[in-house]
This record gives sequence, C-alpha cells and structure tokens, in this order.
Amino acid sequence: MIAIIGAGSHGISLAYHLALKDVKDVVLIESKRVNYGSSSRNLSRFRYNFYNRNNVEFALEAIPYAERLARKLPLNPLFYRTGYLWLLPESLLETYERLDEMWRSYGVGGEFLSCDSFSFLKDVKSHCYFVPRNGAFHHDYLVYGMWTEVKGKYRLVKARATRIIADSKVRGVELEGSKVEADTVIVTAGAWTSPLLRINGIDVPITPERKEAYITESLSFKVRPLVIDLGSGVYFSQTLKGEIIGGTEESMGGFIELGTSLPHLLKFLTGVRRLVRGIEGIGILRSWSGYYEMTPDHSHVMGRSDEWPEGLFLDAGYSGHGIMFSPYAGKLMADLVADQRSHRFFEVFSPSRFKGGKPITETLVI
Amino acid sequence: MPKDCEYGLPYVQINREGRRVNLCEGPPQSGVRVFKPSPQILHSRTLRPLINFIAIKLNYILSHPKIYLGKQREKLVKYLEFKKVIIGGGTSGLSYLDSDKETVLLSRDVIGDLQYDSSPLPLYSRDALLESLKGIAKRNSDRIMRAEYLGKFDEGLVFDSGEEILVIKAREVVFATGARYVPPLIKGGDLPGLVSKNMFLRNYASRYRDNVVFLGSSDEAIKAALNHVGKSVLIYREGTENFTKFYLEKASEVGLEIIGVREAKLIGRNRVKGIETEEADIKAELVVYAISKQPRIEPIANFGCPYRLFEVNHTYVPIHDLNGRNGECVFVGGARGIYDPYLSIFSSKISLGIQENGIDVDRFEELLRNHNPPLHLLYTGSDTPRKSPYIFSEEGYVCECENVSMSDVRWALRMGYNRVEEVKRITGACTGACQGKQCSYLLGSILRDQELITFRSPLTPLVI
Repeated sequence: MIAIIGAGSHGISLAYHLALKDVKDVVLIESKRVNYGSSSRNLSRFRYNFYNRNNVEFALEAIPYAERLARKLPLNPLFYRTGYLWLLPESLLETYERLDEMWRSYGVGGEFLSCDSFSFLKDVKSHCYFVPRNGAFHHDYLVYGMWTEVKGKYRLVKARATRIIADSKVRGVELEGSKVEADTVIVTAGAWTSPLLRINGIDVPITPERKEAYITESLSFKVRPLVIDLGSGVYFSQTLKGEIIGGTEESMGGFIELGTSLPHLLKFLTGVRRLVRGIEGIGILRSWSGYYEMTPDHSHVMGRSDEWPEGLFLDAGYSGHGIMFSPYAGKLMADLVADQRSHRFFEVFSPSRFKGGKPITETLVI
Repeated sequence: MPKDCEYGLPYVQINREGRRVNLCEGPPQSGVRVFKPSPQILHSRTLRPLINFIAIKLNYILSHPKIYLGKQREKLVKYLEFKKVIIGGGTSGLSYLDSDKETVLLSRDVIGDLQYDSSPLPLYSRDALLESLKGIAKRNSDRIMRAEYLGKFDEGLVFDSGEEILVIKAREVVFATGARYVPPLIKGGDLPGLVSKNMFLRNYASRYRDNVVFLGSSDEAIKAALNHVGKSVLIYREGTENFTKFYLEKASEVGLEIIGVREAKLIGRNRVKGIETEEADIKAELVVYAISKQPRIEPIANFGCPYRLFEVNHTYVPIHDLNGRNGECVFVGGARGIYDPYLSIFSSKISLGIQENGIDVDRFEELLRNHNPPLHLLYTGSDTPRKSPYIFSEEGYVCECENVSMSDVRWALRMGYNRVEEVKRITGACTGACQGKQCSYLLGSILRDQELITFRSPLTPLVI
C-alpha cells in the first residue's frame, strides 16, 4: 500500500502518474480539501529562468513535460507563452546581463529591450529585460484535470496525518482517530511537511512564509507578460478573463492566519497603477494568501535520505515555484516509488544536501 | 440589465468609457453583454487547439473595459478604534444603534429598501415604523458613518466612505448586514424582464399595471405582489411554500392568484413575454422574484463566523442562538433570517438583553412561529429538509457573470464534483464581477451543500 500525505498539486500528480502505471493500492490523505494549500493559492505562471543552473535544468525538463501533459487532461489547463518582463533598476542590470548569458547557454535567454516596446507600460525609468518562453496556465484546471483522472481509482481519506508509523521500515500513517497501513509513504504536504516529519525525529528545513495575491477588476487584455518590477517589488500579469493578477515582495514568516493586509494590497494597487496605462481608477476584486514553503537554499526537496526508515519519501519545499513543477515532479516520484527508477535530480535535490553542505542556492524567488 | 439594485451585484455598476455608471440610477437602461465560452466548450478535448488559439492568440473572446479613469485625489487611509460596531443601516441596525449608546453604525445606505415597500405589516404600522427609523437616524446621526463594508483585513474591518478608506478595530461586531433575493433557476432567466422584489419596488412597481407575475415561496413574494396595482399571479415551486395566514388573507383580499407548480420557464425572444408552467401559459411582461430572503453570508463568513444551510427554506443562515449570538458574532434582523420589520427590531432588543413592554424571549419565539416561518424551526431543531424553492426548470443559468448554465453544473456532477467549491473551480462559476453573491447560494441550494465558496476581502471592489 502506498500512502500519499497531502492532496495538493504534487500529491495528486504523483497519484496520477502511479495510476498511469496501473499501480493498484494507493491512498491519499488530506486534512483540508483537495487543492487547499499553495496549489490553489498561486499565480499560475511558469518560467525557465532561475539563478541556479540545477533549477534551470529541472525547468527545461519539467515545463515541456507539463505542456504535453496538459493536452491529455479532461480539463484544459490553458498553457500558453506570455513571456516574463523584468523591470530592472540600473544597479541590477549587470547581474541580469550575466544571468542572461547563462540562460542563453540553455536556450532560454531573453532580450534587453526599450521599455517602449510594451505599449501597456507607462514611461518607466527602468531597463526592460524580456524572456518570451515563459508563460501562464490555469492552476485549477491542471490540478483538477489530474484529479479527475484518479479520483475514482484511489481512496481519499479526509483526516489529518499525525505521525508516520515506522521502525526501520515504514508501516503506515497514524491519523486523528484511525490509521492507514502502508509500506510506502510519500509526504507531499507543502508547508505542513516539516511539522509532520519532526514528530518522527526527521528534520527537513521547510518553513512557511505567508504571501498575498490580488486580482483587479477586468480590463481588455493587454498585460500579456508577467511583469516583475524589481524597483518596487510588485509583480503582475493578466488572466485570460481580463483581471490583473499579482503580488508584492512582502511576506510574513510562520503559519500566519491566511488573511491579507490592507497596506500590502495598497502597495500592489498603487504599484500596478503606476506602471500600466489607463487603469488609474481600477479596483481590487479579491485578495487571498497562501504559504510559500521555503527551504534554506530556496530550492525544492525530493526523494529520500538513507537515514530515514525504508519506504519514506518526500516531495516538497518548492519555495514559490511548486505548481509549475508539479506534473514533472509527480512523474519522477512515481518512477522512483513504483519502478525504483532514479534520476540525477534525486541526487541534486536530495533532502540530505542541507547536512552535506551542497546547497542549490536560488535567489530568484518570485 | 441588472436584476437587483444592490451595489456589488451583477451589472449594477458598469464601466462605460472608463467611468463607473450605476445602471439602477436614472431610467432603466441596458448594460453591455459580455460573451464568454461555456466551460464545456473551454474544456472540450476535440476543440482544445481551436479554443486555445482563440482564447490565447486572439483574446477576442472577452470584451472588457479598456480604461478605468482615476479620481483627482486618492482616498486616504484612516485608522479608528471603537468598542462596538454595527455593520448595516437597515431596520435592525438602526434599532440596535438606538438601544445601545456605545455603538457606532457603518452602512452604505440608511433605512434602505423598507421605504419602497408599501405592503401591510402584521405587527406594526409601516408608516409608524418608517417614521421611527427616520427619527433614530436623525437622533443618532453623530454615531452613523456612511461607508461600504469591504471586509476583514489583518489590520481590522475595512470600509470605504467614498473619501477615505477606514480601518476599524472593534471589540464587538454586530452584523445587521441584511438579506437579499437570489434569482431562481429558470429557463429563460437571462432574458430582460426578470427582476428581484427590490428592483421591482424601486423602479417598476408604478410603471407596470398588467402582466406582472411574482415568483416565490415566502411572504416576501406576496408582499411584492401587494405593491402591484392590478391583477396578478404568484407562482411557487410546489411543496416549498411558507406563506403565513396574514399574508394569504391579504392576497385573497386583492384577488392575487397563488399557484404551486412543478415546473416553469420564461418565454420570449429578446425579453420576457410570458411564463409557461405545466398548468398554463401566462402572459407576463415582468416577472418578479422573492423566492426566499437569503441573509448576506459573505460578510459573516468572511469575518469567520460559521453558517449552515437551513434546508427547510433553503437559506444559508449564520449559526446562532435565539438571542442572535454565537461567541463574538452577533446577528440581528435580516442577517439572521428575519424578514418581518417588527421582528427585526425585536431581534435587536433581544440580543441586547432588553426586557420591556412585553419584549422577552418567549414572546419573540411566539411571534417568530406565527410571522416568520419557518425560521423558528431553526431554534427548535425540528427541521425536516424540504426541496429547493429555487428550481423551476432543469435548464437555465446558474451564474450569469461567467456564463455557467445548469448543463455545465451537470457536466461537473458527472465528473463527480458535487460541492459548491469544486463546481466553482471546474466551471468558473462564482468567480466573476459579483464574486458569488448570488450564484453561490443558488448553486448551494441545488447541490444541497452546507458550505459555499470562501468569500474573500474585499467584498466589493476596493478602489482608491
């Protein structure tokens, strides 16, 4: 029996890929509801541009994989390329020129353009750097698309996992008031991963950071790329429904109540109005928040450690870029769990790296 | 065209060449019609390449405003602290304010829809009531602030006064946020000519003499009809009626015909021409709905107070005791499911523990039983679920903003999604301009779901 703790994008993707392999006995354990955490609280953008080469290399496999998978799902995740547009202050120009060189070597570089090329932008003082290959999708259609395919096949247990039952091997999962027997347990519990593993004496450094998101009233479609204004810390794009969606660099550490802050919201609203033409009177339609699941090096953790009980696996800690990587991560995890097929990424993103001093330092957290 | 005039409901306020226009002010006028693909077409696997091409490459599908013009001066943010805050300036809010001098009341409107209604009341004279409320508003004007409630944020309760954004910290919050009418599921429900009781009273009652049909299972529908001069018909879904003796007698006095039907649909090409039931075809130029009075759950749930589906009349109600309390949440009047104005006043006094002139809990319960059925069952616990009073057809729009029909809901159901939250995620229902203020209730009643969507702040668009 395989037990997956956490029915978010990563847990569901893993289940989806196990189902493709005709694996029979799988149970998903979810304390809130399917898609509750970061999986439904994100901006649904994808990118290839990371500071760390390992993350670029992961994206080069993960993003095309997600685009292909999207075509097969019963819901339409609407993957499309919008580009990412960085507005750079003078002080960061050199850094991005160096990064662009690295990205070009992978075929995911961009262009330094005059900001006049983007007619939706007001006159801005920044430098404009545009990478066309990045894009957007619809997170609900992606996750529910995968979930629709597996929900009839696997059992969903709605309960909070309180402990993983294990000696030298995994035996099951203890729930509030019951338990599930399993010889394989995969934790895909996002921000809630660390507290659970700590009960078993396993320390995986994943900490929650509350981040807020906002959408505005609808506007005729013009802000196609995701705009990242590094001067103000405001980032935004437009949905196909016409809303401007985005957030700011503001975040709050810990399991802070999932509300939103008025000053943060106003920072976003004034930031967007300052940059986009013709929306001086636009209003915020909705705000929400979720947890970024941060690791010390801001790169994810996948696979297992030899020090752990046999049969225990992990896929979490995506530090703000989890949803775009979920289809591919689920595939790799399913290969590992069901077929014992490893991949070099399990070495790179190993949970042991924090002790071994081989961090995958990532500075581009958006 | 809007169906109701409440700020925040579909098409009440539209953007016309960058300016916000309220379609309920001035003569009735039409808004813009936005075309959106139905969810089933969007998700079709065969059409997917074509749909993605149209949706993504061309972006022709949606016609949205091109600009939003700003104001000369941005609103300032002001932080305030009060002991007790009442949200809502209708009958119950004003009575609470008058009875408790430690309160401050915030509301977009004062007195509200009551002033448009001229139907008789069983317990009190309407004129006296209106006079008394006007007096309260005048006497306590220094404790009334005109502002729209935008919801709870980290920093406190946020209101928009038009000039300022007010952030208020309060030790106690009284929800006098009232109730509204949710449109039914009825084929042809998107045709102009289907309006709420409030819209009818405000804009149409004096203009239509003939061919007006009323829809609804509660006294509210009879009350709407009693405002109409001329002969009319009231239609409700069989087996869902909750009329009281008082209003049935009034209906019979004016010759209002009340018919229970299994099905009904609206007919007409460009606007409503009639209503067809299994019994008869009725000519109708205007169809007015007041199915049930649905408490506005959005501010209550957004604040963190629990609610549930009360299946006797299919309304979502905050969980509370006979005094209208649940921990730090206090509910009065329409917010707790009361629709008689006198009982609204009574509910404010009861929640303050006031006992005077025959006002006490026993009397309150007795009056509820006689004049606000089936609400009293909420407190006796003897509620037997009944069918939804909203469903008149198997087809029709569930969410007009996002073009979600009952056929789309059935498509989601076939995939195994039977919760409001799930159907929202799959079909996009309740994600449009009104953020689910109508469709989530209708969808909830259809699905018999205890939970609606998560109502997030701001509850109406925050503009500075």
